[in-house]
Amino acid sequence: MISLRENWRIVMLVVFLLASALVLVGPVGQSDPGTQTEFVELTGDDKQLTLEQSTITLDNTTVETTNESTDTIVASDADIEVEGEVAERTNSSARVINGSLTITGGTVVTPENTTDITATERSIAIGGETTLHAENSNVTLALERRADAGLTNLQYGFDLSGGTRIRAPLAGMHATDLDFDQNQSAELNRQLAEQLGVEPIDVRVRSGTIEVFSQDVTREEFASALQASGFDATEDDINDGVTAATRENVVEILQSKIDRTGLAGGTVTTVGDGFVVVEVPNAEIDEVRDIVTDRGVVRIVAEVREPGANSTTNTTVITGDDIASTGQIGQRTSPSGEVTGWEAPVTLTEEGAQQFQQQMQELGFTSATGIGNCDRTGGPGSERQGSYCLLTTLDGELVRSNGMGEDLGTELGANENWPTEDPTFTIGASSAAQAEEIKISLEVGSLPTNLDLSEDAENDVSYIQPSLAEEFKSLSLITGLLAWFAVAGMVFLRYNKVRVAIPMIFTAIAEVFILLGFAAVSGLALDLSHIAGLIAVIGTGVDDLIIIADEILQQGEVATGRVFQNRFRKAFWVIGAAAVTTIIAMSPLTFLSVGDLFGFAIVTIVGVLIGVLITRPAYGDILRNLVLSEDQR
Amino acid sequence: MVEFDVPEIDYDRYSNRQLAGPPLAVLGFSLLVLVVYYLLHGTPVPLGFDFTGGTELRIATDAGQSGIREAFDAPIDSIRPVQGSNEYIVTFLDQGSSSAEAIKSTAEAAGFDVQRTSTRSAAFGTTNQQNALLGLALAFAGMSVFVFALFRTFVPSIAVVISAFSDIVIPLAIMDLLALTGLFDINLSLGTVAALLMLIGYSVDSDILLNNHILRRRGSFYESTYNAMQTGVTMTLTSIAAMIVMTLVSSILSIPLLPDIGLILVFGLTADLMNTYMLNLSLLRWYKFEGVAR
Repeated sequence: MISLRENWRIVMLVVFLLASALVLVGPVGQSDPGTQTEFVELTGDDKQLTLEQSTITLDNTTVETTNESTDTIVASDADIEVEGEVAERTNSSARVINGSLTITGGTVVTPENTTDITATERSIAIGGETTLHAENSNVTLALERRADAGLTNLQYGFDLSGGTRIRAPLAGMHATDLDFDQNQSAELNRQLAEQLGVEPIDVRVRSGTIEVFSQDVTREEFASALQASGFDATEDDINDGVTAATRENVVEILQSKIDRTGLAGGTVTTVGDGFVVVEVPNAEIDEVRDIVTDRGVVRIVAEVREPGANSTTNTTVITGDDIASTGQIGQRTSPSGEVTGWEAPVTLTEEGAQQFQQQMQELGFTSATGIGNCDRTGGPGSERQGSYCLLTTLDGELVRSNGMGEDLGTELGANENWPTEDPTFTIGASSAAQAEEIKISLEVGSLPTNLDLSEDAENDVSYIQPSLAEEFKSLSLITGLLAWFAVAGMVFLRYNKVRVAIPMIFTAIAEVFILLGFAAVSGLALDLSHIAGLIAVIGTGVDDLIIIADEILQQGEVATGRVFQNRFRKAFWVIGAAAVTTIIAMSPLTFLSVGDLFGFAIVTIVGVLIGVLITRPAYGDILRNLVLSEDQR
Repeated sequence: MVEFDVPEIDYDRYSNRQLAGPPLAVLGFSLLVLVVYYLLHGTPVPLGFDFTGGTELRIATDAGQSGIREAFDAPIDSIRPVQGSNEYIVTFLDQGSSSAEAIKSTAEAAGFDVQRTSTRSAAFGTTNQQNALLGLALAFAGMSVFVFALFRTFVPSIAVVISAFSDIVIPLAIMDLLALTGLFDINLSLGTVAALLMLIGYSVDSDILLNNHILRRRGSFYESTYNAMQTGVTMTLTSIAAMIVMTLVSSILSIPLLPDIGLILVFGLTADLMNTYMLNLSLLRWYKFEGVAR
């Protein structure tokens, strides 16, 4: 009878193995895999769609039908469910026969000149045959289906799941320990922005800290601007990068921006000394790059040219701060039914609305000459008419210019209660994509600063095709297994005793198994560097088991339990010392940022700890049971 | 069944000088190689794009290497074919304006299927260089302090530290020699840095084992040595076997990172066999028979 008390080390190993098995494959942790989005581009030559039992999500895309090009179904931010037979899925189209598209959420603008497609508010019915066509618009169909949880609860990082990863610092610099009154911050902000020749949003003044986010400002300029504002600051007081508060703010905004842009599964984290890492599976570099470098500053600018004048005066009348909520984007049509543009309706805050109304009145937008009179080119010289345009700008770039609408103009001119009653405004855009971008930018807020992807910044931009990453997953498993076989082969050759060798190679793999359990339970996203760490753990693990086995088996027969204990302790002295050196050697990688090596270091350190504390002691007990006969114990 | 036994070496036949000579000569030669390489190229080892900045692409094309060279305006540093496929890994070390996207779109315009791209800015490479160097120095210093604290005597401790130092220098010198002769190109990458750190751990294992047997056990010097060798050589050979397999398999399958780690460990562990059982052993023998007596 084997006593459990004497073999508590083996019992512990078994407990850990069972626990690892449970967290790896059991319904623990990420029990609900949720939905998984698979992206299929309708552009390649050999892409075939398989749409059975799935939802097609058309995020921010335009699906054209086979009819005239104006026959457009626009589904921004909407899920379109296709029911019915989807056939002839070819490189750039799919045919829906007698089906219906059900829209959940989002706006749908449907084609008008076709009888094949009829639409109600929430559903588009397709009579006969309609081809969903994606000719010039490069449509990406996002197929949502229940996530394939995989065989295990393991999570995979960038190397093994593919997509885009951008790692970069945030653009900006800051000076801390400045002494000023909190009440002055707004004034200070304005003053510094003027000094530096940047926008007020490029400067952030917060309790003792001043940050500048523009890449055009040098340290020297910043220092002299601070001096001009009465601070005793030199160039040496200015630190590169932004403050932790700003970084957190950026991470939060970027995360919600990515979530809303329909890039499923994207994550934003900070690492090391002020770096932001954005990982988006399935996305191409340029999509992600745009999101992290565009700050999403939306502004409505009133551009006024007096009659006969050559120059215009620009006044910012609405900023993101003035907007309380946004509505669904839609098409703007002329009275004759032609599509003239896109719009994102917004509701202003009361304060913003009051200011807007006042400015519109003062600038003459509500007068008879102002309404609907936007002519940015105008006639020649003194005969030029006046022009009153509302410009939509996104990150300083003109998106669209519009005149004041007649309804809104009249309302703003006459109704004093407009700011409280119905302060709505529609922001003009030229395309659905722009309107959507404006809407998202307003909802998540603009980024205080962007990721610095210039050559002098420390950045790293990578892309892996998801299919290749998928391959790496199985290939690295093969590599690991073959390395383990090599170890097993050596162990068999050396000991030539099955009862020594078999427990040894299984203890070694048990260590990796428990380590994987640790990865699953801690939500560690596995990358190639972790795989390398796992293989390294097999190596160090077996080394230590060899030390134990040799120590116990050499020097003749183990006579008694006491002798065994003694030898076991001696072996452990060496193993412990070796484990400490490995941990010391790896620990610099845990706090110094050297590329992707953090994962390697963590896996190796945890692996060594698991080995020394759990698996290797258990191997000693196993060996004792095999070596000592019952009465000697 | 084949069986391997660790041979019992008749150390009595060799003087300490004869034992320590070859490893020290190899160490000296390796340091010389690093210096020569530094004088020729400005860095002690060939740096990969992790440390210089640049772009690495993995593309699939039937155009072949000449087709790839024609397609890009940016200077190509190297093209490595992926075995058993029409894929190539193309590296640009140019630190100019050619961004990842520019290179990627050029590749796509030329009809290549871009499977993987990675771009690191020069500044990022510089930080990696500094941190990797600092990390190695910290790890080495930490290990040295620990070893000294463990044995509390100078000669056995310094023997371990010198062995570990040599284990790191020799693989680096092999990298230089391979690059200088143009036989094979391994650049210092993040993977090789990880391997060098790993090497500190692996290398010290067998040294500690040897010191422990000789200094803390009863029995004759040669008996203890043989016992320690039996265990230590098995350990190192097992690790070398695992690493050879990992290197071969992962390079055939074209998995990044793993071949670099594997290859450096194979070189380093092989060097460790020599350093432990010649250099370290001779120092211990001197200490045991002459040093203690003094």
